[in-house]
Amino acid sequence: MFNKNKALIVSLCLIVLLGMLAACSKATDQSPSTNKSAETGKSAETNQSGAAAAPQDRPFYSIKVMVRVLPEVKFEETGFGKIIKDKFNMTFDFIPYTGDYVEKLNLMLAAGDYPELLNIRNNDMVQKYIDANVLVPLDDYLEDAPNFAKMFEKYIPNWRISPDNKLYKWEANVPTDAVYYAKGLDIAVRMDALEQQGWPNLLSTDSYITFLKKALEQNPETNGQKTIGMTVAFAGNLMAWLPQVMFEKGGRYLASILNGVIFNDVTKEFEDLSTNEYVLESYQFFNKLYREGILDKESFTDTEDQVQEKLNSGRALSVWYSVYKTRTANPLLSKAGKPNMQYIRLPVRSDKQIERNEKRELFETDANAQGSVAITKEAKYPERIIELLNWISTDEAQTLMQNGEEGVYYTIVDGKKQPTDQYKAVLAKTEKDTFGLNGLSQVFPTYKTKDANGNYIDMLADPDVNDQLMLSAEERNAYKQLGWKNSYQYWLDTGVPQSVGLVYQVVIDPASELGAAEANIVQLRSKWTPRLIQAKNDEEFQSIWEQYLVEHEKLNPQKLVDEYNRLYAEKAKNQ
Amino acid sequence: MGLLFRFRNHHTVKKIIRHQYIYFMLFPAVLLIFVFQYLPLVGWLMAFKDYKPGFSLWSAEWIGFHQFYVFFFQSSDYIYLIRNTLIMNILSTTVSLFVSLIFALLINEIRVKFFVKTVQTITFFPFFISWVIIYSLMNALFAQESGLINQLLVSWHVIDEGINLLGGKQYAWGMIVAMDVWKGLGYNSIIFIASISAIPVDQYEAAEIDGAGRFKKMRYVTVPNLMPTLIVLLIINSGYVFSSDISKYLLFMNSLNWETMEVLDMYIYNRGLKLFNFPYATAVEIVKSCVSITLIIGVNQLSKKLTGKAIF
Repeated sequence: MFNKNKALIVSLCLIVLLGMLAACSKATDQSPSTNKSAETGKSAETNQSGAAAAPQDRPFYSIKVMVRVLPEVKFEETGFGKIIKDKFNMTFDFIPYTGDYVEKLNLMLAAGDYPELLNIRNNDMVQKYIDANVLVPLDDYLEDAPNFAKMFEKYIPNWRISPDNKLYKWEANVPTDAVYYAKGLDIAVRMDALEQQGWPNLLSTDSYITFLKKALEQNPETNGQKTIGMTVAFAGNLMAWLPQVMFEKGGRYLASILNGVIFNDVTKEFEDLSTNEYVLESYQFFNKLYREGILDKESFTDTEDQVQEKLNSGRALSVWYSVYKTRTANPLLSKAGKPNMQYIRLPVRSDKQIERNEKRELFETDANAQGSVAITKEAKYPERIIELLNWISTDEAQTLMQNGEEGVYYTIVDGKKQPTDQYKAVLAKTEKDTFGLNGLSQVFPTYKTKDANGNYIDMLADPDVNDQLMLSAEERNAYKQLGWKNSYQYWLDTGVPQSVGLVYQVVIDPASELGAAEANIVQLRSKWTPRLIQAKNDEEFQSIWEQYLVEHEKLNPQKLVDEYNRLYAEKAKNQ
Repeated sequence: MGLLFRFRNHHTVKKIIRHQYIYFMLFPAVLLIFVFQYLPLVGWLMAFKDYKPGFSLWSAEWIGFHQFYVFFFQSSDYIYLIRNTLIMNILSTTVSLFVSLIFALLINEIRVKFFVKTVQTITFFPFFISWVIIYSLMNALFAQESGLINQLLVSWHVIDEGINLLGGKQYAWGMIVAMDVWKGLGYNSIIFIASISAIPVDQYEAAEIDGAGRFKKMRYVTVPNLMPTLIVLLIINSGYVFSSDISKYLLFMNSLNWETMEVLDMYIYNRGLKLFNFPYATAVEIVKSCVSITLIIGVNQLSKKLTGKAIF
């Protein structure tokens, strides 16, 4: 019995030990210094799996891609997925992720565990991956991708962000015509409040304050609860930039790193964001909203989810910046039997912006660092990914990707695409998207421009078609009451396309001394903004502002601005 | 051969051989702790090198104490961070333990077993609730305008406008301590209840013979017997006085209450991990660990001196 117990104990210990050794071992070497592809970047298996072989002769290739939200239908079962499978014997496996994606990128790099095709959110992150020798250089593949090279000829120089001038990435959603981002993320207002006051055309900050004050008097309660004048999601990191975005409503400023600096498109120089005149006007606007009891006191602790809840119930008369949340709120309000309480998007400008009356800059995306995509050295067949990329860089593929199949999702009438009932049902989410519209837009270019005939490739780009498909009848009527032709009219009339260009290529390493200084500047701004907004009167506001400027100067912001300008000048010289 | 003989006959080796199966049983736990708690300490090298993730730690340039210098001398953030961390953790630990002790004493006096079990189960539930749910509950109850409690108090004219519990910096410490006590009450009280059940019955019998009532029995028998447990728990928790549950602060910290809510671990997360500055984060973590070790040794020695009781 004792010998049996001895044997049992010894066996148990050995099993546990073996189990731990197995768990701690790694199957493959993930070290970044391991060169999985040859120095030229081309796979050693080109002869077996290269473009020359017919699709059915090549091994089936499934590529993992990380996405925030899983599509309704598995990619391989969609219409587009089947086309990709037939042409290239490839498919994509979407893996959902939660939490902060940038953190995930950091951890993937540190752990040496990343997928084959990766959306790398910012240029500084791309540079880190390049420095770690994780990405496949694409230059050697360009001769195998003539469509890609030709289509993005103008943009590829912007994508060469590495000091060795090699191409490591492409950018999704480049180019994108200005019409896509024309409608500013300004303010969304409840329609019934507008109707009560005779459909005023709101624009200046004072007009909003007067309107919302009166609207609160006329609507003290909504559904038995106190009505909120304006709701904003200031919680978390949003306090650092959400109250400051007034700068993009005027002219001259568009692209901003949204950290320590802002780019002036007139002087072509970076400036200090925290002390910008439009940012100061923005603070003054929020201070007035707060003093008048219009700004929701819970805004300082509300997350985007809580703002969404307030919009869904119709309690808020307006929302700052998060106007896209009305896409969820409006159908819910309509379904609840309150279609007149839906929200419409309206513009806002500060007093100085109205006085200067400069053309508002509309994003014409010729650079989209947020959509940087690269092939990593985990890729088994990088040349096959390039082959697919080459096909996607054609009008045929882009039309398919963005609109679905002709005859099913759209028909051609007088040379223009017209949506079918099935397409409308998919947009209204009453039917599943079995084609997989824009399914690969996170990792492959989807250029949103016009085709050779001068028509938009994506039928949703047409403002009138977009309004018909995306807005409810009540929303369209509201714009009509305001005298607008469509929901885009104000911005298209007063805006001018502005390309982002080199601005997003200027990157300061967050881990460097200047990067840390920039983080301090942003944190200081985040901490002082609530004090400014909650100032009891103009004198207190001015006093707090002056104290803030003193603290801000201690962080030497000019050094940061000078460095950004130096880097920008260097990039401009190399163009 | 002689060396082997002497080795095998050494009294320690003989002891190990005699109790070899005990050591075999201990071995997996020791290995687990070594692999997951001690081996990772090699990563502390990151704090002394110009390490960039994705690159080899061994080939990174040596920078010495530069990161420590940045933390202590290039900003004064550490002052309010350490203050907030210490105040909230010390208050949470001490209040939590004492409230649990009192709760255990009171529960012990109840004779209706069904009631005792029910109360214990109910008080244990919060321990399993995640901080995300707790935040949603707190928001639903205490949001300044829409929170249920604030709405009731305003409608009853107890207050004119809602109390900004979630945003006010003056409420941060109290709110965190109260939530920690509520969440840990059931779990901490179980340790004390277990200790109470281990008190010899003859001590209560002797006290009864001497004419002690319920409160005197509690005071002269139960409480003194619980002191060793309390001291052990205090000593162990003193080592965690610089560690905070980051999930709690990610939810409850905002731009209004950061001055009193931001703790060292949040700082390490925001300035280190989020900015990809692993060496800086490691340096701050080393400072934290060294202070925690010093504290636990110090508290242990103090307890030994004052009460004669200590863990080591």
